[in-house]
Amino acid sequence: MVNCKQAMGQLADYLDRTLSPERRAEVVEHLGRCSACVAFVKSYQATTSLCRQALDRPAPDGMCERVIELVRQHSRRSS
Amino acid sequence: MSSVVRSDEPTDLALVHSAQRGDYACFEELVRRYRDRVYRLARGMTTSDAEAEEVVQDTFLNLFRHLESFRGEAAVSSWIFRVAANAALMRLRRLRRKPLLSLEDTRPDFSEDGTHYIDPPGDWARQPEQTLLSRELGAQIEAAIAELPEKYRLVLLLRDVEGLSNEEVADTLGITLPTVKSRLHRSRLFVRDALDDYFRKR
Repeated sequence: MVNCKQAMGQLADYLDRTLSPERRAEVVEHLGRCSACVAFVKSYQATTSLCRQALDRPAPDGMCERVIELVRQHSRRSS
Repeated sequence: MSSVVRSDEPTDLALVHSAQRGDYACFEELVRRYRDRVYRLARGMTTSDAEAEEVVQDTFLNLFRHLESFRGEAAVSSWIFRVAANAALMRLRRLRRKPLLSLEDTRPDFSEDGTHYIDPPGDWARQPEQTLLSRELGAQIEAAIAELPEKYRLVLLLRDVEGLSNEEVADTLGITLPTVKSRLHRSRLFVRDALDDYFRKR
């Protein structure tokens, strides 16, 4: 049986599903009896999702046109 | 990871090849396809709207100048993100630098025998995400990400915000897979700790 430190040391690979079946079973077994680690895993997963939502913003209006114009100017100068 | 392309639209690679043959409209299409993703990466790295737009301009200008250098060994998306990452790092170097944070000790603290947490994790993640993500929390998350050292921040943004795979991040940044995994895990732990602090103080 693995303890909290050992189980959470494999957390990223556990969530990526890249652990061997034996290692994965050890983590699953530990999570089945440790509410603190379950809370930790949930907060780790929530962090990933919250990062994505917090930083998800579209480019400002007009930025694309400004970039395209800049590249056009460069293209004209160099041709 | 490629941007979403309808089946009747040219692939990223086809657009690059056409642009290399002088079809400027195809390069413009690439700009439109990647503008939001490049902007998000640039904004996450610089934390400034104005600086992010400068980075986006530098990125597409550099891509255009070096169109011929793209030989197709890597995915187009990896090429674009690599140029964007370099443009962001260059821009940050010109700005005032903050002292580098060490993430070596960013991990949960366990008792000596590893059997329990010294500071048990909060259970804030049980709340629905819609409730969790307030404007204030969004600002906290941005601030925590901004504190990460640049090379860690890049990995977190590419993997968790842009949704690249670990392998794609390694390819984009020219680093090994174990390095990606290590930087990603430490970055996530650091941001998770910041969130834990935030929810404890509420």
